[in-house]
Amino acid sequence: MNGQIVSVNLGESKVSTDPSVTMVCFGLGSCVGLAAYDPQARVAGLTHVVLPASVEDRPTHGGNGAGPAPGRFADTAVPHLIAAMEAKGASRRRLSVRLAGGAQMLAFAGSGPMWEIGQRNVAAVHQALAAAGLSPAAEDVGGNSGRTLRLAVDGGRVTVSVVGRGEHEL
Amino acid sequence: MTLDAVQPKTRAPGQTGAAEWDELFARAAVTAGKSLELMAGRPLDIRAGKAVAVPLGEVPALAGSPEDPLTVVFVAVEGGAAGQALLCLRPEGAERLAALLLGRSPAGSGQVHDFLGLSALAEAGNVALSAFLNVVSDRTGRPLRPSVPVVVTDMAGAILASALVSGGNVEEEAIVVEAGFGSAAEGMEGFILYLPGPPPPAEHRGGRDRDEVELAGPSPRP
Repeated sequence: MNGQIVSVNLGESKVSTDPSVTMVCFGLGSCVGLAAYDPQARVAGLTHVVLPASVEDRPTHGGNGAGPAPGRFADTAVPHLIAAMEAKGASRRRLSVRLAGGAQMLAFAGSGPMWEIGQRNVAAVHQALAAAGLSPAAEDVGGNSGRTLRLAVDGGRVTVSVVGRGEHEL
Repeated sequence: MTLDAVQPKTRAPGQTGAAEWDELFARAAVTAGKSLELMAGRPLDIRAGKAVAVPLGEVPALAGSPEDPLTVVFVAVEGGAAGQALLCLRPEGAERLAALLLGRSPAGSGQVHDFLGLSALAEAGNVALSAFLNVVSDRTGRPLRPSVPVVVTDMAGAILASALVSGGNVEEEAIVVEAGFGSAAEGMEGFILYLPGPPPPAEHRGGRDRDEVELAGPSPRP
């Protein structure tokens, strides 16, 4: 994949129609990268989900009052990404969705909800997709390894790379 | 590889760091470095610690490219100033440190995945991070209980973001304490990261004192 690399960082969602762009979620651990593509409108979207739920997991203190980015939580990231893609001409009926991430990087370090955040993120993304009438065409989730997810706007090819295991198409 | 190659990218000094805290973290870093020197039997260059505020999205890039492999000894910290403490090295440096501790020649592959190598690294992390935390604990008067250390080698961003999130750090910015150590001659530079947890919600603060809340935030210690 050549051309311009656009990094999608923690809690961010980005949409592009520029065929020279490859959008990337680098180093997904417990976070989930959700790549969506409309092959007819040639609109691509990528979001980097950090936590499952905007109500349960949002900060309860501090902050600047502006509220966290919608891409940070699965339940707000999915509808936000779909709406942003539709605004660029995509149709949700045509969206092909692929997921990667949701690992437990620090296995055995502890137990409890925050240590199982990867599993919870994947489940929450599935739930949000179902609520939008979508289901993933492919996914590479869980386990104990970090992943990098790439989405090429030109053609919507999605790849996942893992340390020591190279890159594969999703 | 030089120490600069792995030192965390930080915002302008003094943005969060009150002088008292910088002095505390500097002392904690030196103590941790000295403990590693004793273990390794070699002098190390020690870069004093300081506290900085890092936007959440930049945490995965604290060690450089979030996709580059990093070896981390991780402990979760419970007690008066709960958080996450990490001893971070490039895999090649981790292998050299493990080899040094075990008195054997490094294989040069960056692999430390045999039982002895992992145990040596876990112990090095345990000693260095405990030394760091002891200084913080002594100063604040709050007990800190580190978990059993976990050694993991993977994408730096995946480890750092997971550590941050597992500690409940989901604010716009994370407070990061970083301190470097290493030996250019030995090729095993690394650094310690301490990610204090967020302050508890007001309704849950009962029983905690001001020190605990202030350690987790940018306010200077009185």
